[in-house]
This record gives sequence, C-alpha cells and structure tokens, in this order.
Amino acid sequence: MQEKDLIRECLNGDRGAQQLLYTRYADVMLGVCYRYTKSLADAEDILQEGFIKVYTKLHQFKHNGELGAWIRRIMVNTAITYINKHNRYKRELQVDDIAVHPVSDENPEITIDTKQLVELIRELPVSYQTVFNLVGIEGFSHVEVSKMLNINENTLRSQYNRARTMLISRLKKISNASENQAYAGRI
Amino acid sequence: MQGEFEKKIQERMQTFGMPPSPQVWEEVNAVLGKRKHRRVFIGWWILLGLVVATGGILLYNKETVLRNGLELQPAINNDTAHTNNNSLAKKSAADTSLLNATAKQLTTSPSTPSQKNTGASQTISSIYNRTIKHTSKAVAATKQGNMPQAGSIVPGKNQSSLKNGEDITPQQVKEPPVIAETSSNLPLASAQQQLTRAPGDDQIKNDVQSGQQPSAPAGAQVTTQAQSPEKQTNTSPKTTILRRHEWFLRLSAGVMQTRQNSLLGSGDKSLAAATPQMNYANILALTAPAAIKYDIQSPGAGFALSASFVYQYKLSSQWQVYGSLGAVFLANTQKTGALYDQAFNLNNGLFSGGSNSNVQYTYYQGGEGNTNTVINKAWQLQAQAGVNYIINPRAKTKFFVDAGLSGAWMLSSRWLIPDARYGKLYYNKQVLNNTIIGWQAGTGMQFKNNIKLGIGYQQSFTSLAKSYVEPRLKWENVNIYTAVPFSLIASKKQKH
Repeated sequence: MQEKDLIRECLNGDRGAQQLLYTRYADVMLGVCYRYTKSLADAEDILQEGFIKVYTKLHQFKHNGELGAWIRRIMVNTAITYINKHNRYKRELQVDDIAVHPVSDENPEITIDTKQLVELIRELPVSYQTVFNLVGIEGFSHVEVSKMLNINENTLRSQYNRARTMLISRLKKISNASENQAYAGRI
Repeated sequence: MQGEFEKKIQERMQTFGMPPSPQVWEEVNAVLGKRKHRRVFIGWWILLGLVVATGGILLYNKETVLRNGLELQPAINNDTAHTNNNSLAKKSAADTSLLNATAKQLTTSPSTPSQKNTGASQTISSIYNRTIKHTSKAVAATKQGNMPQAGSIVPGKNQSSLKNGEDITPQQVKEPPVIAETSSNLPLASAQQQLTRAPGDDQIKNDVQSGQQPSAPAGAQVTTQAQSPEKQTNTSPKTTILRRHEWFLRLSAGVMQTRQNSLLGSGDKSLAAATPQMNYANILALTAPAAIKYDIQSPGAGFALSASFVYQYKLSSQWQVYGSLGAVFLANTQKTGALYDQAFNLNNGLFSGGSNSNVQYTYYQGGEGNTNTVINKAWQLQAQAGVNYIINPRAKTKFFVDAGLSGAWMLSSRWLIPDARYGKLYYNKQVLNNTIIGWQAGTGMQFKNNIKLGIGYQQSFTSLAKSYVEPRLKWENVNIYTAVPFSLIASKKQKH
C-alpha cells in the first residue's frame, strides 16, 4: 500500500516522493549499473538516465510485480543502450568470437566478498562482462540477449562460456592464493 | 543456463549496492524541475489570485463592520424623526461624538442659504454630495430650490432617480438640507448617528464647540435609528449596536508531542526487522551490530507557539463562527543513534547534519546507542475555522466551548523523520507534508471587555511526514490562549 502511495505521489509530481523513491532504490541500482561499466562515473550517468526514465514511465508500471524489479529492468536496458552508444564499450562489444568453448561444470566456492566479486566481473572484457551480467546474473535467455546486443546467438554462447570460465579461473586463483597464504602462515 | 555457480552469484548480487554521489540526484532533480517549472509557475499565479481574493473579501468585511454592525436602520418615520429639544438633550451624549466630528467639518456654515462661503460650502459639499447621490428626493428638492421635509430623506431609497455620475454642487443646492451620512473617517460611534440638519444649524455647531449640550435650532432634527425594526419605537428612539463582527489578536502557547502509529514500540516490528543488513554493509561500510536494539526512539515532548488574527461573526447571542490566520511554531527533540554519529562524525548534542536536503542514506540505531539529540523545528502558516457556543450569554463573564478545523502550510522546517520500514532516517523537508489538516476544540471564558482566555487541544489528521513514510507522525498540542479584541486595542490607543 505504501509503495502504491509513493507511486501515486510521484505521478502527481511530488518532488519529495520522487526523491524518496530515488533514495530507496538508488544504492542498489547503482550496484547494478556499476557491474556493467568500467568506471563509477559511467555507472552514475546510467543511473541518472535510468531514473529519469523511471519517473517519465512510472505510469506504465502495472503493479504486477515488485517496483524494484521494474526499476532494475529499466536500469539494465539503460546500461545496454549506454554501452551500445559509447564507442569505448561498443568497439569491444562487437568482437566476434566464433570458436565455441565447451561449457564448464565447475562450481567453485566463492570465498571473496561481494565487492571483490563485482570487481572481478568488471575486470572481464566488455563483451564478456556484459554477456555474463545479462545471462548469468539477470537471467535473460541467450535469444533475448542476442537481440538486445544485436549479436549472433552462437557468438553469444561462446562469449558467455568464455566469460564464465575466465571468472571461475580467477576465483580459483584468488582462493588458491589465500590458501597458500594461510599455509605459509602456519609454517 | 542457470547453474549452481550462477545462483550463488545472483544471491550475492541481489543485495549489492553503493551510494551514488549527491550530484546524481541534483541532476535528476534539475531535469524533473524543468518539466515541472511551468506547472509551478501557473500554480504561483493561482496562489496570487487567491491571496488577492482573500484580501478583497477581508477588506469588504471590514467595510461591512462599519455598515452592518453599527449602521442604523434605514427605515424611518416622521414621528421618530421629529424630536424636540428635550429628547435631543437626553441623547445628546451619544450624539456629541458625531457632532464634534461634524462640527470639525462644519468650520463655517452659511447663516443664510444665499450667503456664499466657499471654504465651508466645500467642506459641507464633500459630505453633502455623498449623501445627495443616494437621495433622489433631496436631489429633486434641491434642484427645484425647495427644501425637503425633514425625515423624508431616507438613504438608500429612490436611488434610481439619480443618474449614475450625476453630481450636485453646493451652488446648485441653495440650502444643504440634510447631512444624512457622515464621513467614513468618523469614529464608529459617530457613524451610527445620522444628523438631519436644517437652516439655523449653526446653533448646534456653536453648542458643540462650546461644550454645551446641543440644542436643536428651529427646524433641526437629529435622527437616531435603531438597527432592529422591532426595537424602534415611535416615542423614544434607541440606538442598538449589534457587534456582529469582531476581530481578535490571539496568542497561544502550549506543549506538543508527536503521536506515532503502532509501528513503534512493538517488538516484532522493530527497525532491526525492517532493516536489511546490506544497508549497513554497503552504504556505511559498517556491519550492523547484532547485539544492539534498533527500535526507533520516540520523539520527546516539545512546545507549540502561535499568533493569529481571528475574525468572529456573531450568529446569535449564543452561537458564533470564527476564522483565523496566523503563524505556528512547533519544536521538539528526537534522539538519534551512535551509528548515525559515526557516519557523520557528530558529537553529542551538536547535531549539524547539514541542510535539509543533504542528510540522506542515514540509518537509525536506537536502544543503547542513543547519544545525539536533534531539535526539530517547524514554522507553519495556519488557517482555522470553527464554531463558538456561549453557555451563558447574559452573564458578564461568559463561558464558551469551541471546535473547528485547521489547515496548516509548512513554511520551513527541520524535522527528523524515521522511516522504520526502510530503516532510514530523513532530515529532509521534502518528505514532510506541506499541508497538515487538523481539528481543534477548547473551552474558555470571555470577560466583559471581550478579552478571551481559554484552553485548547489540537490534533492533526494528517501525518507530519508524507503518507508513505512509517511511522506516521501526527502532532497534537494542548495550549492556553488569550484573544484580545481589536476594538479594545483601538479604544486604548484613542485614550492615549
């Protein structure tokens, strides 16, 4: 009920309500935007554009699902638009990766904290980073993502598998390093 | 393509967040502001129109005070109008103020109709012209050079025979027969009197100037008319003043507190339950200490002061309605927690969390960690309307009860609003309600000189913060007040 009140007030143009909506969701949404970009400034640009879209399209929200999920979807779409628009991302995104990489079944333990995990994802090449975010984290299908990014589906699969493998190997590396450190400490 | 690895990462990412820089909101706000600018601009024009309209109504009412509250009944008959010297002398005290005022204007009066006296006639004409416009009989009579019959001139009657804008100069009027209306600058007591004046009225003026009881010269009639026709008698005219309109200056002081809804104080809905751990971990880079309670501390009691102008209209001897407009100042204190202190490096009792808009992303920690005290302040413009019922209208000291509604507009404020649902604390006027609707009731006494002394209770229907913020803070106050009538203030000034 409260969320409905908030949405109604936002639609009425109440600036306080708009700010409250922003305050409630901005931090989590910046986390989303941050995963798709290479810099915090870019993430904030996306966040800003995304929230303007949220306010202008809020009347389209049907109350079927959570408002947070709806805003998150807008942020992801804004991030993809941003990546497709800016050359520093676009150049790297459109690299074809024809070779098919086998799917890894590995499921390593994640011993690092969330912030470090996000940084690992951000260190991936732009195309891998984007694909892994969309498929692995947001849960979009390959078909949906291939349309969103306007790339071949096979290329997408390849990129995703490479991204996954790369991430797992880096996680293992960190995990091994910390184990070695602990072992060295005991000696 | 969702394996176990992806699920683990998704779980981690659900709670990941980081605070954006304030510039992001400022820019979003600026974009939204541009869109809203036009609407706001139109809104200001509407507000300006309302203010002008309200001012006009108030001014109109002020005029009505003079006319309705104190004016005499226009209906008059000759029997009442013609009085002899004795009746004149009996009510000469009441007439003296009018005559004084009139005498000042009648600095010089022509002893005969044909005598020219420009200074005096101009003074008279200024009075006379106002009257004569409304008096067709007088117009007809004066144009023909005839004297109208005393008492036959009734203000407001037969006005249609005089064309708009038609004026009559003193030269046209050989003999100013009637002064039926005094200057609007005259004292109120004078305005209720109408002096019917005829040739030879110098004697009245001389009597007044010499401080004697004025005696009526030949042909002079002093007419007094009663407000209510039923009170008018043919033999002894009475002056009845019905003070239907009254203005007061009202001052009040009292204690106030904010009432919260049931979200506060219930253990199962503490802030800890409502606050996700991630907020602490990601926003403030602090881990929420599990051992400390997170209940929101109730705000302390405060005070409420107000000053307002009250307009009161008497419906009957027992019932009155009133409306008021004034300023209200509210203040109280609110405890904040150690985490808040830690995040903003605040010292005990030295809250200076910045402007209204920049204290955000803050989290409240209550219980043992309460170390800070914030002073909440709010200025409001408040309008009230209500009904007074006088219990004993015939007594010298009247007792009354009153009840009504109020609407308040927040002018400025610094008020700490805890949002338990999201575990946030706002010190931001944008989450405050701009309009607060409430009700009030009270009782008191009205003394012989119309000064009122009473006690009142007021409570808001609407929350101090926006409806989407929990808990909802409704404020209430108990106050004592005094209301001093403007007429009393004015009369004291005159005495001085």
